[in-house]
Amino acid sequence: MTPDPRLIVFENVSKFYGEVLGVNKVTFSLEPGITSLVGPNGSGKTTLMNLMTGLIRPSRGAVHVLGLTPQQPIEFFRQVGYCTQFDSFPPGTAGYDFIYWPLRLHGFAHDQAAKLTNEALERAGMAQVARRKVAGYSKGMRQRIRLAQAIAHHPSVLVLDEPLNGLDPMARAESIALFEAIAKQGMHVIISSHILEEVDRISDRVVLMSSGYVVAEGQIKEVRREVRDHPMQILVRCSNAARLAAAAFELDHVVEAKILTDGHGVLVRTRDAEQFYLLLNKIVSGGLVEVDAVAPADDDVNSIYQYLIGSDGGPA
Amino acid sequence: MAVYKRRYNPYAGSLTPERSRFFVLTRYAFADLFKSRFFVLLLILSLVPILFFAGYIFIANNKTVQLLMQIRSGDLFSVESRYFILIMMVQTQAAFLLNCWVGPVLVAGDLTNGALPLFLSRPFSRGDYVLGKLAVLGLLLSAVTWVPCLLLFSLQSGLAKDGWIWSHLWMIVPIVFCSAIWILMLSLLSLAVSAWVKLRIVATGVIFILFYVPTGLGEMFNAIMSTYWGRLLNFSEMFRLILAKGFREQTGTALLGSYTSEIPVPAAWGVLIFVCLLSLVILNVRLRARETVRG
Repeated sequence: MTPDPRLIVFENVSKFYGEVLGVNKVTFSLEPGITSLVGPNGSGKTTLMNLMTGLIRPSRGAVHVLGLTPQQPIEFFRQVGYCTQFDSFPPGTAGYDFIYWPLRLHGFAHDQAAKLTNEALERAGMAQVARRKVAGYSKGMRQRIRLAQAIAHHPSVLVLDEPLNGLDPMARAESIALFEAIAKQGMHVIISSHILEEVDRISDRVVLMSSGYVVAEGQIKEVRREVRDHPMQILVRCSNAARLAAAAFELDHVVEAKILTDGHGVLVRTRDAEQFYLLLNKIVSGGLVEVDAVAPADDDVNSIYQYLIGSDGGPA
Repeated sequence: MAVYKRRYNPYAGSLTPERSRFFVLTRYAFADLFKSRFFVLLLILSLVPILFFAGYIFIANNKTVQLLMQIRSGDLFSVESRYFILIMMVQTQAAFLLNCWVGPVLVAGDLTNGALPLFLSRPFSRGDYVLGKLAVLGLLLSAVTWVPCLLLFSLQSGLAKDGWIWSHLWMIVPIVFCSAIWILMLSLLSLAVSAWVKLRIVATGVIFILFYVPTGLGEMFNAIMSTYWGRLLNFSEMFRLILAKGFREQTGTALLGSYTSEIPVPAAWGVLIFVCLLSLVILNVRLRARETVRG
């Protein structure tokens, strides 16, 4: 079967470092957009990224990136831009050189490489400091110059390992805006992080990892729906909280209904959110309760992560 | 969030040839090396003996200067194969010192900073990486060994009469060939040691140790076992043996080492080739794109 030239496909991929498990039996397909790899340290995120960028070969299974494999290095590496987690700077390198020389390794002639370098520096907001040595950059500037280097050759797949680490809020917002802009152009943006809140806001989908296994994958809401056996929390801000709580308790799938301390709302835990919403509609239409707001209280990756692996995904 | 349409056109113009792309690394390394004053000083010092050798050739071929300096022709060395062996021995030692400084600079920094993924996430293999770094050492060490040696050969050819060049043309082969094996061994060894220990200064020290400690151990082995095979661990002497045979000279002299005559030349070749292969194995093991920390 010919791999889809639009997707990143992992087919039953395992990677072992001797006897140490990197990732095991990973199977998924990623569409263009922003995908976040989420998991605690040691969960296999970097291994997955190294596999995706052709830096390591799987022990078992196959990886296809836009229909290509690392066995076709010229086409493969043209499509992939990788921003590593670590300070990969040859000693004494200036920011400009850090982007220019790798472009020459791609096979761009001097003029084209210089043009692309300047373009990448502009996009990452680093043009003003490009001639300074990277050793003198702040951590945020280093992240951005790495990002500039990863996007310089116009890849279709951008793989970013912990790209928001060490960035101040302004730089973080700028970087996120850049990722979103890149994703809107139709590129794959793969981001790894163990800070769940930041990827929650920007991701089209998440891949949750734990101990080398993919524990869930898909759009955050889809993943949440798959966790059927864990009650979902719904927060209802309303005028007559006691009445709503009483009505909710009559439903079999509601396991808890807690009135908020201010008395103006109920936190409901239910195994069937759709049935609860139907009940809520009936109560509201009957005029028994005036509802101000309804919102899922645990529809974020942090909660999902806690449900799935019993950890908040923070550093191990 | 994503609009699944490409709005940019990927680059579709011409690219530089793949086969010569490793030279990008070489050029970058040279640009970096020549920023170091110490390196420039070391390079100049490595070439200083060439001036003396050239001066000597000039005097040896110029009767007027000899008369002015009140030197009789018979007092001078004749510029023959032994003279070129001497030049080679001095310059290969200069190459060794230069290699001890430059080799670790080339690789250790990349490994300490985890920069290999930077290179290997391009259409650029580990082989290209090693080739790029080897080219730096190859060009540099050539510039202090066989290239000046050939220039001196040309100088002698130009100054000498009676068809000296035609009777000595064969010497070009050992000059180039012996330099090449020495350069290859030194370069691979220094890259392998640098990849292994990762720290520049330590790598420089280890390269020195690898040349002198085995020599001492070999001598101990010889003394205990009453043999001469321990000399195989003296890489410099093995090179001298190959050099002497290349220049059709007898070993067992003060210039060429008094013991090596008993070691067969193929054994000397075997030692140098073994060091090269071992270095390649170490490079293959240590130069990995994988980062050490999994996340």
